[in-house]
Amino acid sequence: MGHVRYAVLNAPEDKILHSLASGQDPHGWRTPVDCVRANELCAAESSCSSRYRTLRQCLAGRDRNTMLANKECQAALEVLQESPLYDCRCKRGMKKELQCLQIYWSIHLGLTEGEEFYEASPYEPVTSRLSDIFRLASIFSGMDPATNSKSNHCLDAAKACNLNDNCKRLRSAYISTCSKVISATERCNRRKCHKALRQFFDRVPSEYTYRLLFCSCKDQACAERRRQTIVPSCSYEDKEKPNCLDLRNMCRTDHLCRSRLADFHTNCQVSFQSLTSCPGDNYQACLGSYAGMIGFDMTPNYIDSSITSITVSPWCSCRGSGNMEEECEKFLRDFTENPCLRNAIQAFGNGTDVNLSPKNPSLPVTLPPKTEKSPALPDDINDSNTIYDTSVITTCTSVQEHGPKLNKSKEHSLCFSEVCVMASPGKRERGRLESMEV
Amino acid sequence: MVLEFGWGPFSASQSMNSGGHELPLFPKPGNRMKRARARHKPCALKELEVSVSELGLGYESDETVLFRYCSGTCETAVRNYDLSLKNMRLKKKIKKEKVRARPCCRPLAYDDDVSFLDTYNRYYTINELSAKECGCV
Repeated sequence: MGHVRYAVLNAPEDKILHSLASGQDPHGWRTPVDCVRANELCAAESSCSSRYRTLRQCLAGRDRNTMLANKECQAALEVLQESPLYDCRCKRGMKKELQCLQIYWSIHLGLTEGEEFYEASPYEPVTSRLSDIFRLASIFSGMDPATNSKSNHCLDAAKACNLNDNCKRLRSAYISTCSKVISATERCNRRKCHKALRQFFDRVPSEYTYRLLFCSCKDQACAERRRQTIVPSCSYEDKEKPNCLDLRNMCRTDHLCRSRLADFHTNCQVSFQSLTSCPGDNYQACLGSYAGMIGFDMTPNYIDSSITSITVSPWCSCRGSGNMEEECEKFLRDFTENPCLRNAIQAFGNGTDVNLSPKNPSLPVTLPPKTEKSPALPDDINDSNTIYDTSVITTCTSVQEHGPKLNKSKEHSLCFSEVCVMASPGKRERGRLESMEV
Repeated sequence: MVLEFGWGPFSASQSMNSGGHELPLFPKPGNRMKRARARHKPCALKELEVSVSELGLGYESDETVLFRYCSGTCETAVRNYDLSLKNMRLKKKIKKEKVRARPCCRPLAYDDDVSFLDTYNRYYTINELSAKECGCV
């Protein structure tokens, strides 16, 4: 009820309200409020809610330019830029995720300059790191992932999943859905298969899902198992390979797909300022947004079961691009020849992560600016990956030995206890698990 | 006289004797008692990690699954039904029919489906593989 009262107050109070709404802490770091909440805050203020209603009407069925030609629409947009709605974000797998994303895009479609190549992610930045997952995975499996080099890591990952009730249930759910033959002409129900895959990747902790998806392989049987993880015959392959830009346009008509793609572009975009080629050297964020695309039109997968080169791609090609060939190739290269993504996958498989000094833990958290710069990287960058990796590891060990450890946030310890619960598949824990899923 | 749930002294001694082990006159917690108790744990869910191939269902896969099964005795679950049935058999009122005068430890519910990838990279799903809940029935 407080917001109503504040709404009519003067500017300084307004600012306080705004900072409260956007969760700005005393240090000036802005932790964005989620868009569902921001929408509630806006609805409580008559000026904000009327402008928001206006803007939504403006955007409905019109493109940005015709919308901005209308003075009323323009004014509404300007006012809303000051509201908590402007920098609200969503969480992956949150309650009302779709509603949150609809609110996000209702504002941001008006703000962005038409059809942008890269769009900013509507999701909250990922703060946890891969090292946490390694640690948890090794606690849970009772072995160091780096030491047992002989075994089939992908098979181990399947075992780990099968021994966990939650993982086993959701894995079996998507496998049985995706491998159920409908008729002679229809291989499977793709829509249901995608849905089951999304549930698996949203509801199972990444200690399990990443191990299945990014396991490192030394032989082809293992690599084939890795390729088969998402049941590609149903979820990935299709009769025809569409053009990648057409596929992107199709994805952008869907709020969820559009958001997951924008998240991938934000977190896996090749960065030249970092050792790992990843924005903020955050492998976890990149792998998370890669996995977040599984179960949508843009579902990526390994293109073959090669063990020497890891190449992932959505099911599309640049054939038939016309004069957009260059843009299409550029789009596709973010999957097929992306050193950030490749380093992240390899680092996870090898159980190595960059452990940066905690001088500024929020650094990778800030949203990278929307960039239009083309990856005009030197051609040899892909070949030098191994050199990059080793140099990174040496730096890390020295940081780990001499520097202070990354301070663990509350979120991590929460995550930790969750895994301990899931690690022992007893009857007692199962009851707790089921209550957690609700 | 009605024995309701088999908790009375009569039914207990009856079932113990039928179980075939001695009833000590002065029960003292000793090694023998512990061993005896270990062999006669009440019906409960137990689990085993096995490979899919080991299940013997004809699938070839190295994937490991959790196999849960029911194990234990059902002495405390003996009903008047069981006692009466046994007596009918002893008195030869029931001769040729196959009857079971003792409750047995069986799954009351089965676990969800289990899916796995076999060595030929095909996915399979098997249902009612594993017990979820056990009881004396």
